[in-house]
Amino acid sequence: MYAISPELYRKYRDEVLNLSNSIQGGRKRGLSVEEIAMKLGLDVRDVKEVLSIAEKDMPFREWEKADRFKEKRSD
Amino acid sequence: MKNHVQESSDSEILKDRIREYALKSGALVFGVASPEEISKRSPEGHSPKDFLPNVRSVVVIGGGKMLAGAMRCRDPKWVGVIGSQKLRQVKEISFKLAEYIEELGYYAIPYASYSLANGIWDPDISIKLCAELAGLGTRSLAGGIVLNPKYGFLFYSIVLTSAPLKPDEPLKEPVCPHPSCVRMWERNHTTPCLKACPECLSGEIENGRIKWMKYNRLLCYPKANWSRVGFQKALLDIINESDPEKRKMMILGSRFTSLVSALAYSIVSAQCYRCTSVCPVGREFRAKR
Repeated sequence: MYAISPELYRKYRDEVLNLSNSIQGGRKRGLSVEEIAMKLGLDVRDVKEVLSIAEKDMPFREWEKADRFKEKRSD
Repeated sequence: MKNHVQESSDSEILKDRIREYALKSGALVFGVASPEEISKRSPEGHSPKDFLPNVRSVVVIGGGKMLAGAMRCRDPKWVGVIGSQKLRQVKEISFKLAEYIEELGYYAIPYASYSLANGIWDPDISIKLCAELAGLGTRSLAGGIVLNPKYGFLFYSIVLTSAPLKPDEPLKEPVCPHPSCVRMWERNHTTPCLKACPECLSGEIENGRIKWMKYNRLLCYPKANWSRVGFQKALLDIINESDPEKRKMMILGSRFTSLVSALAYSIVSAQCYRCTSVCPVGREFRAKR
């Protein structure tokens, strides 16, 4: 199974996230994977992997926190 | 000249037939966007022509209005399940519509959000953009969700077709912010959606218009935690746990059981609906006795 190196991931994680649609608003639109790859001089496949991992890469406690947040849903 | 008039009239008749079928099949709103206009605003490789080379029109349907009861339901996971079901209904309508358009003699292919099929949230075509260009709504402070002026939050799906249909115009006035949100902003510097989800959403209103908005999908993501993404996260935690006893507690515990159940039954609770349930646009459809 293809996987990027942890070094490559750590190096580009923030930059790829910031250029993508992960955080929307404040500019015209987020860049596509192809556009990010071109901008950073990376392989499209590597950018896709960085983005896929980065979007989920937060401690599981965040998921649990979100669960509690949803359960406290107000009227 | 006569041929041009005839073509134009045929195109109108064709559009009427497709609209009628879509509405009869359960769509609440219908519009047509121009592939050329979509392409102008899309990154390379994400245009309708990249998906269907001979596309001449992009039909956009919206529907799946959330049940009023769901918006008051105390179980957020179940609200998410209802939302997923509603999205599925709209997708099914677009599939039926594509079949119908092909019966009329044109190529057609439905396209709807199919989640993480590509591994990332990077759709082939922006459905939000199509809905806006087809005049079905405008983006909102609530995560850029396209709000329809009549119904508020809806699910959208598209059908790309070689049928020549006259495109609709985008709305002249933005749906968001609603006048009551403008008043709330003037009093308290917040809106119902910003107040409901200050983690994911931020923004500002100026002169009755959205001055800026920011949607942090990364933070919204864990809120969709009853899904395969939550499963991936939990699995990683379990694998990294070195104590076999603790691992057992994690695997057999309620959290992981819930995630496995979501996976087993293809359930994705993809939204918490906090921001949309407090939105005043379309509120009249959520008021029941």
